[in-house]
Amino acid sequence: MISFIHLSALLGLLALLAPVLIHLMRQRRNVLTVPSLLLFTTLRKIKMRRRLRDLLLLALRIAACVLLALFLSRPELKIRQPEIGAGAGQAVLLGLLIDNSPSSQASVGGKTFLELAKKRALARISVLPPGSMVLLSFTAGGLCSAPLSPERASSLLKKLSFAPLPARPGAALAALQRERLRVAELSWGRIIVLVPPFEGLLRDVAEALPEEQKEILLMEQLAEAANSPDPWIDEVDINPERLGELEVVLGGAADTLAEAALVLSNGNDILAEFKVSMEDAHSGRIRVPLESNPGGDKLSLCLKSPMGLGEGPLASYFYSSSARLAARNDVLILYENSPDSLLAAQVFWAALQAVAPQDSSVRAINCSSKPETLQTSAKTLVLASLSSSANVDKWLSECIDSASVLFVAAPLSGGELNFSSIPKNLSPCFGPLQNLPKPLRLELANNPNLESKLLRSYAKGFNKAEIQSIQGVKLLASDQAILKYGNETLVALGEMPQGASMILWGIPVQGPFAARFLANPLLPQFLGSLLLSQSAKQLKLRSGMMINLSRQLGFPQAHGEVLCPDGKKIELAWDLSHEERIYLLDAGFYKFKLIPSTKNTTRSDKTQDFAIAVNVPRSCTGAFLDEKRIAELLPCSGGFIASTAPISYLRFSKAKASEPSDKENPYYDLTPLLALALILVLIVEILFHGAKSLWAEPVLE
Amino acid sequence: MQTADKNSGAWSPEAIRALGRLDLIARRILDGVRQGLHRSFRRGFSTEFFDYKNYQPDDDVRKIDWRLYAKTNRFFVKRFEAETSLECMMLLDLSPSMSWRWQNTISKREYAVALAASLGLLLLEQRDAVGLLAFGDGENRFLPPRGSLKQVPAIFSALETSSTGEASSLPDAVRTFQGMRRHRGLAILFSDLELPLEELEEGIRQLGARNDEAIVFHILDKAEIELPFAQATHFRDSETGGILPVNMESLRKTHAVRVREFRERAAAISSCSNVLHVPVDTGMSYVDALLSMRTRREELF
Repeated sequence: MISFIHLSALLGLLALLAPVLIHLMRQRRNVLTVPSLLLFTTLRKIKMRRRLRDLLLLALRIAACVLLALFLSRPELKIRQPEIGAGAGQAVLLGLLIDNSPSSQASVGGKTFLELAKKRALARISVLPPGSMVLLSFTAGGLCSAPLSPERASSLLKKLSFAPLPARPGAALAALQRERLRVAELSWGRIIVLVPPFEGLLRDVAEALPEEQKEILLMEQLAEAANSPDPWIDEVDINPERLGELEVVLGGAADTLAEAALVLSNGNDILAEFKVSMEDAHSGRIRVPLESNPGGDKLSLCLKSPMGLGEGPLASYFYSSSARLAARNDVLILYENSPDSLLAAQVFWAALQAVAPQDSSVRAINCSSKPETLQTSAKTLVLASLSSSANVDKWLSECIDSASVLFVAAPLSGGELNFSSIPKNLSPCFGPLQNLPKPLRLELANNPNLESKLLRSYAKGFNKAEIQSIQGVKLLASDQAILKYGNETLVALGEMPQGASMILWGIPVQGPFAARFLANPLLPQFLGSLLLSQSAKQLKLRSGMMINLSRQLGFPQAHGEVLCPDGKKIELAWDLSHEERIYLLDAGFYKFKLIPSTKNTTRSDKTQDFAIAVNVPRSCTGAFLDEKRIAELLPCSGGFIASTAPISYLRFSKAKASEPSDKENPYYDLTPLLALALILVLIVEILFHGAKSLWAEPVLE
Repeated sequence: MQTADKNSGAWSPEAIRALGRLDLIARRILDGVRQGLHRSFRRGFSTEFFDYKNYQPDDDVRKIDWRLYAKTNRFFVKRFEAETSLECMMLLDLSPSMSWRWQNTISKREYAVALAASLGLLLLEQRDAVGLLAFGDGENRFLPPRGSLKQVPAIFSALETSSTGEASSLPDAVRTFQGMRRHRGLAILFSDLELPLEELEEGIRQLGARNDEAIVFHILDKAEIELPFAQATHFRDSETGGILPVNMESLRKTHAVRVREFRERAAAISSCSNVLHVPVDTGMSYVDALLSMRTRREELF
């Protein structure tokens, strides 16, 4: 049986019409009467040669079209599909897609979906024939591991916990498909999708699965639940008479909280006070300590603002090894009585409860209270959308001695933040800023070292690489405040005109807004992990991707090759000495100078400059946009012109190829054969035309 | 008059065709022949010695009697007496291939009729007996040879009429002609010789077998030689209706050789049967055609 990876490429078969029409047009006759054919053909007739020539040409062209279409559709020949399970005896490659997003913490019969999925996955792995391999793919981040032995996969599965990241089952399935293509030495088993029956998840899975993929085994409940709404949101009991003490039971973490908030705000008047309870697998029922809501009915508007964006970087930050040391001590969340600050505090609280180590303490302090009440040794400070710089300075002065990490969530309503008092040993991290209704002004001028601090913050946790530049979209308007590092645009600050828009790292952003922070604090970690990855020959990265290479990919060493924009190839080798989790928030083009570590590397004496393109969709990337599309995305293009960096690709190869455990290839990639056949056909056609003296004389000589 | 002049202007076949009437055409051609020669065309057909005349410029040096020059140290040219008893029979091929024309040019049939009319008029004016057999376009039209000038309008009338019916091939026509003939003499065939090889050999062989002298005017259309056609993809035979695909681009490259070989083959077959082969085409002036025949005949005899 033949299956196609890119089925839509078969539409290229429509190109068959071209040679057929050419052939038919050549058959049109222009007959001229002559006195006698004997003057021309007293010798011989070669009428059949003409027809043979035309038919051969037609056949060659049709073959070329068919082969090209098949080549683009990447067919696979399935020789035999063995059954997974005891008794089959055939080593197979098993793909497991497991939902470890926060929503997987929803429980059924006292067990979370993640626990059910892990149990089912372990049961499947336990009956795999000897020599089989397992691909583990996770919806949180949309990743896939390299092929793992069943023992290794079981070990990882037992340790698997949920990650506070949005579920991306489509990306995970795509990664799974890519991974399995590279395992030619094993029979392909099947993809087992283990996700909770949430409508959104199932829809994403259904869209991501190829049409011809029939060997998908879903959990038993999924089929019945596919058309039902999200049961967890449905459990929200809205009683208008008791809204003052509303209790919401949620199965997931921060993103589920956002969903619940949206449901609550939809057509319901939220009163002054309410309480939110959360339930997750780790800590059981937690009451969020928000006792009052001074924002009143404005809370509904606040809840409609985008959520679920802040906890990702924060969670990734706490997962990093260096940050974990800091998080092991106190974490202090500073908030104020504004609605967006309350909301940000909720989000951060939920996220920290989910990701912080158990021995950490997380406190939330309202900045409106007196400073004298604060006695903290927190090493991590979270400014939850504070709009008053006076409060910030006041509280920072209280706790700045003990803090080493500052995480700032921009105030959703705008305002001013003065970082002039930030000491040198404090590395600020920033959450995403977007859709600010009022300008946000960041005072940087009083601290000449802040620029370097900002840069250092990006590189935190990744001391073997330093950012030379980050090249996204340059704002070419001269009156804009642009923070540069070297010659590259880093941060664009300041007010922007009403209705302005620009493209930032491939993401169209609509105004009004005052500032856009271009950099991602965890980008260097992503880069490091990327270099560590040896599981992909050509790795396509997606935003929101979360990679824990040492745990999920299981390869302690990596060896890669970077194709620079100028075509130059750079070989890279990296040694994984620490675990890193990466959260790549935005797509874009990045330019880095890489300084390999001196330990366990093959190239320790040189720094390398290279650029990478990360998840740049063609539809929203300046590099791929034509002028018309740019004009559509930039209504006031007269004020801002977008330009992007050139694109290059990363290619990785395994440092040591593993020995295939089975010589039989159940899935045979036909693409090389098709390419060879296509080349042969083209050569034959070229030779055919070259031998014109042999074939071009149709009848008369 | 130079040959180039005869091929264009007032002496071109198209210009002479504009005269309309065949008798005018024939006389016009003869005028051209006489102007071109400045001497009697008749004398050239005689094979009997008549007398000597003093050599004049424009006389053929090959006619100088060198023995007499050795005796007298003066140049004398031999003159021949016309043979009045010559019986000439003209065979005119009027098959469909002869009637084909390219655009508005003169057809091989028109060319052959004019040539035969002028030659017949010339011979009749020399008091030779001239007859006609037209074949190939239906029922054969046979006009017995007569020496009277009354034969002139009869020949012209026969040449200008056409017939329908089952056409006879060249061998059949020649056989018919031989059967009706009373005396041996001169036979002149006007044809494009676009026949199957067997028929061609048989026809020419029979033509030369029972005649004192036989001449074949091998007429090709100028368009057949030069192929001025547009990008035709197929050729249809005007006689058989058969269609053959062609590649005009490559055909043009090799067609000159093809035509030359075609003529050489006809010339070889004619030579084997003692038939004088005179290749002409419809772009050639009648005067040149007749002079070419005369020249070749003198070379042969």
